[in-house]
Amino acid sequence: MNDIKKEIIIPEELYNKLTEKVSEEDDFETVEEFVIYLLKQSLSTDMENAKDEKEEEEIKERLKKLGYL
Amino acid sequence: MITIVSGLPRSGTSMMMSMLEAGGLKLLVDNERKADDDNPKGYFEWERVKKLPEGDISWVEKAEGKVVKAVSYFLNHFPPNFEYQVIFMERSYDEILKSQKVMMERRGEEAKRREDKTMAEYFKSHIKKTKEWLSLQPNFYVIYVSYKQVLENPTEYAQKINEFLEAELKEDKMVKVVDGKLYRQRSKN
Repeated sequence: MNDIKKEIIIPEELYNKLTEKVSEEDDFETVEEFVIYLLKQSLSTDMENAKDEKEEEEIKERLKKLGYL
Repeated sequence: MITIVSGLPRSGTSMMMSMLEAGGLKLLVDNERKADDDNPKGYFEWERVKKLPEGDISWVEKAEGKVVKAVSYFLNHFPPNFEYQVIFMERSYDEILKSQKVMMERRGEEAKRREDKTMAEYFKSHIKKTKEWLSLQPNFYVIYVSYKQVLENPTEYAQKINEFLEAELKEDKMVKVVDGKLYRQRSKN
């Protein structure tokens, strides 16, 4: 991954909540670190879900072809 | 207690059903799917298992004290208010896919060899998740049984299964129905 970064504008209220959260957690030093972590988690879950759906679809298709569904 | 013979399609579930029948257990089958070249001794199926994902569970009480065959895809659709003993058949993915390919060809379905690698990954992931799910169910008791090893040591496995089910199965009769000639898609190793 390259180091180029882009800015994203988020509502101040949300930013303040994230700041509070970061101050409560030991794992993150800045809001930016925390947001990057959350977004990566979210994307990875989405990819996992998409993979699960594809897997389910393919297995169902195979079961149908074999007469088990 | 309901006994379920499970696993992926072509993992030896029909062979296990015939062993349990020979051993003296009652099977829940409807014989709608007739024996053919893929399963010369029959499929031992109960068609309504296929309707489990649609919520058709009213028949499950009929399986009490009997054996029903359900491929692994259906396991998590069985209702939670029963106890189940699961004999989960395992076979190498390579052999399963080869056997499925032959079966699909006989059924006139498209079976591309190049899809096997992807399908093997899907099956591996599905089996991993199914095993994890089973390990968390307090009402599912599971024994994992290798198809290949049953063929190689039917006496040992008849005994193991008898012990697992805490039944009084006729092990000698179970052994007699194990037919090595039906082990047609063998891996090299």
